[in-house]
Amino acid sequence: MTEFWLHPALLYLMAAVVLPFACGRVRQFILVCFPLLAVLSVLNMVFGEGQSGSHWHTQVIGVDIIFGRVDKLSVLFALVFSAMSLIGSIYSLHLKHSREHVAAYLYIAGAMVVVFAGDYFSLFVGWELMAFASAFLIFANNSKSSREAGKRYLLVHITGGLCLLAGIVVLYVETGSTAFGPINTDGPAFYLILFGFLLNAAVPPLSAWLTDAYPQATITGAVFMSAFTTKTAIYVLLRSYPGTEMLIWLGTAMAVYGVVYAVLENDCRRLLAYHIISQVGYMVAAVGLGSEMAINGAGAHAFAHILYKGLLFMGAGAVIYMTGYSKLSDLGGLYRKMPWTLGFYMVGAVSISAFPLFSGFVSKSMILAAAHHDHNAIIFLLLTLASAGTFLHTGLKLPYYMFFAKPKAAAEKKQAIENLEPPRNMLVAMAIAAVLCIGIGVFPNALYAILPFSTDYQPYTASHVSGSLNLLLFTALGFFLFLKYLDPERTISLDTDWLYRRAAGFVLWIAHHPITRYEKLVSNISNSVVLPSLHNGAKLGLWIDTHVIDGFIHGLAKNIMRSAQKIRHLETGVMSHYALGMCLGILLSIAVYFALRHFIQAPTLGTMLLQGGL
Amino acid sequence: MKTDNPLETDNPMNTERQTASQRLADFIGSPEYTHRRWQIFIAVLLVSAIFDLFITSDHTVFFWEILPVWNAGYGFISCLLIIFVSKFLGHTCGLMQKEDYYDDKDVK
Repeated sequence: MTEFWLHPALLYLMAAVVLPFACGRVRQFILVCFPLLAVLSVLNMVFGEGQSGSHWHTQVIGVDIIFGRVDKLSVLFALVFSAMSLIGSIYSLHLKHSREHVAAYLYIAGAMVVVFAGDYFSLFVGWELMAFASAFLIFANNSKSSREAGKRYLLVHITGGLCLLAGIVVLYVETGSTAFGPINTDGPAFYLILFGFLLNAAVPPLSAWLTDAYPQATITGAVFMSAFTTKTAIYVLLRSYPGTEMLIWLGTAMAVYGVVYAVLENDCRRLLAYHIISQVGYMVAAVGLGSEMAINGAGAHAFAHILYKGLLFMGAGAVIYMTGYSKLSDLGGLYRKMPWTLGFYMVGAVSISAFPLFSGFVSKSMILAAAHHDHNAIIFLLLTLASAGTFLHTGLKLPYYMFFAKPKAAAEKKQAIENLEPPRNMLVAMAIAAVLCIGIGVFPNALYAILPFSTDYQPYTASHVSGSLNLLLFTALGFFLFLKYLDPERTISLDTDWLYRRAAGFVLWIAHHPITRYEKLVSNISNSVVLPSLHNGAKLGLWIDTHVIDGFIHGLAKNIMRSAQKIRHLETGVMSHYALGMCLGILLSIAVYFALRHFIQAPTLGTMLLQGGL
Repeated sequence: MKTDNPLETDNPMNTERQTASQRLADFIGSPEYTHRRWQIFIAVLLVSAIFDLFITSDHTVFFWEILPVWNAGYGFISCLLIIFVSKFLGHTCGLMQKEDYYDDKDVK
């Protein structure tokens, strides 16, 4: 490749290095400038000539490392990642410290490394960078619960990362290659790598880390986190596991699981986090379907999802930032005080709900069309049900209880304040995301043009528009009729994190009680019976060694020395003595021979030779 | 159309309504327009459902796609299923727990 190619991750790493030393306007300039440069560099990859291909090769201990594999799929994800990094940066311009920005930029750099990785080892580097950097977006919230959630998040991701690494090593041993592409082995490498990927994609039962950690992150941190981890997982699944049937069912289960839990949830960001799981479920199912339409759908939906989910997290974050409350049971009546936030939030909400003219409509429908095309009735019905559930919670329940319901006592003191709109930079970031959501919905061909496969898919047919509208409007009817059953309750929902938060306690109890007791018993027996007998045995061995064996060896050596001394005296140096000795030896041999012949009558080989000779 | 209307929200703020944005805010939020909101909503539902009757599906694969207003019915039923199945799982099967569930029983 003769073209100059710049890895976007480098821009984020440079920004992360510079940011701690900058302050005020300079820092704000860096925060806008570097992501903007990243957007431009990725746009250059979309439209520039000669940018696609493979860049930044190296070899480490005989393994090919490729940091810059550029093709349509990697550029699609890089474009939306860089766009979201710009929006998130603008949203967090008001922050006084740079620590969140540094963590976020390292996190985005990790995501970019994964997206452009051409081999599994460089992918792993980006993967781990993402896990560690994003954990600091949780720690940055600086509360006891966030520190604990951050630790759990880190432990879960270390487990996933180690599985991935083990899978990569096994794959290398089995196939001799670490090229990042479809995995053609059925061995343990297939499942180890899949486990690592599914954990990051938050596929139940490996999903609880997401809903545990995201609501504990900082307001701006959650905006970044909602975009990158699960979507890089979709990207790597698209590369390595397209058409794996298991994923269709896992993805569909995920989509329904997310909406079921969202009903129970009271914390607004946790509700949105459950909807990340639900939406990523569509993408996982699409990866499993594996057709060109499905792959396009997964890519398009990931693209649209990052923008509208970022927007939803920004809207909810703005409410938390201004009111200090995150639970629906504490909020309400904000529609007059935060009209712009409400408006932008609703754009995100109707986008995720797939209303015509909004981004979700043109991306999600590709996945549904792929399931339709496959004649897969159960998958199609369940995914449609999850669509209704998405609108029910994100588009109706959450905004209703946040903005319209009667203000609760806790939030009432804030009601005295006339205007609760967040800082202008937050509104600008939300506006950009909202414009993009509408833009994609109105001009879907712009998005379709950059998908991995060329497509002539047409989302705006009369039956599709009418069907979607009916589905959503009658979902809304159900919501308003049964509203009282949806009133937020002050509860938390048990998820699979119960296994390591409570069941782990049971394991600890077993370790503390039965196992410790057993260990004590074993060490008592060892101290009172085994150790003394071993000690005495060793003493006896030592005595035998010094007295018997050493004595024998010494005696033997002494005798050998004595014999040697005597033999030395035989060596006189006189030739006639030696000749005499030889003659005596010959005579002695002959005497022995005849003696043997006398006693052993049977003819031997020697006697036969002798007879023949004589 | 209903007395304990679910679209009902907070108390009306009896301030003078001058600007268009304030009027819009009142219309979407305050209870004095609840009845009007329901009327518009029902009208939209009817128009949408009737419109759907005249649309023929481009490419029918599943048998239900020829049923009239299938999507409307499926949306409504999905909504009820999600609400009541989830609440059943939450309340009866014990998925919903007190907020201090993980705090008060730390392993010592």
